[in-house]
Amino acid sequence: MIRGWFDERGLPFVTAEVVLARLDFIQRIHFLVDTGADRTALHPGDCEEMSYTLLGNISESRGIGGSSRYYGELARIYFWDRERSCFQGYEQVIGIAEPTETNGWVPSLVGQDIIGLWRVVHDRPTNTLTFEPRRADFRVPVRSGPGVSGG
Amino acid sequence: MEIEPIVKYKYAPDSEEAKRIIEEFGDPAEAVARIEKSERLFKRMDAERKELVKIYPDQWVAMSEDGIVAAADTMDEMFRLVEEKGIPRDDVYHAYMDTNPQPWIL
Repeated sequence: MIRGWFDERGLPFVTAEVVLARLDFIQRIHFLVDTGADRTALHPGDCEEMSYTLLGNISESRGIGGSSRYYGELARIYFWDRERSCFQGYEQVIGIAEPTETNGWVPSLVGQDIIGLWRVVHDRPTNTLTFEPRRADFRVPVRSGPGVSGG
Repeated sequence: MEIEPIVKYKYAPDSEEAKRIIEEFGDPAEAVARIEKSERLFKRMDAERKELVKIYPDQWVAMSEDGIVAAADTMDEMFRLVEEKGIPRDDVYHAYMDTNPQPWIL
């Protein structure tokens, strides 16, 4: 089970390690859990070490807040599953937002490309936010040494 | 009804691809420690945000487990100050102290 939390405003967050191998980028990201987003995306406040000049494959995404331009990039995203003592891993093309004057401090989003593979318990009154993966691309065990165990 | 908690994996656990991914990832125990520390800093920054906005209005700030270690008008300058103090970037969490925060409609 992956555990998230609610921030002071009550917005749901979950942390992951994100690796963009082609860009030699690895960072902890606190994702806003956005069930209305089609896909997972990083925003500039989390990308200060990103080599934007190496990015390509740009596309436009529309939302209630307006349009934004995103670069597509293959990522591996690792969520800590405390109960199973492993990281649940996902291999996805995610969006990397083109920096603008207004999106520098917008949180990165985990969208339906990943949330859709989880059973989500969002229980604000009891301060419970958990994600039970039904599917993942791979797992990385933490205590069982080299190799991978079945799920 | 409780659903059987089974995770299905795209890469078979004993596959060469899975093993290669694990090797690439590095030490998972260190990654757990990094994530847990980062979450602690995020939550502390969030809890102290109202006070920090008063002290560092419209600035980027970096917080370590010792408290605020750098503040500047731009993120680049803030990280330059962090590096100048010899603090690894992994040891800080950063955020913008926005005096006029807008609602997020994403």
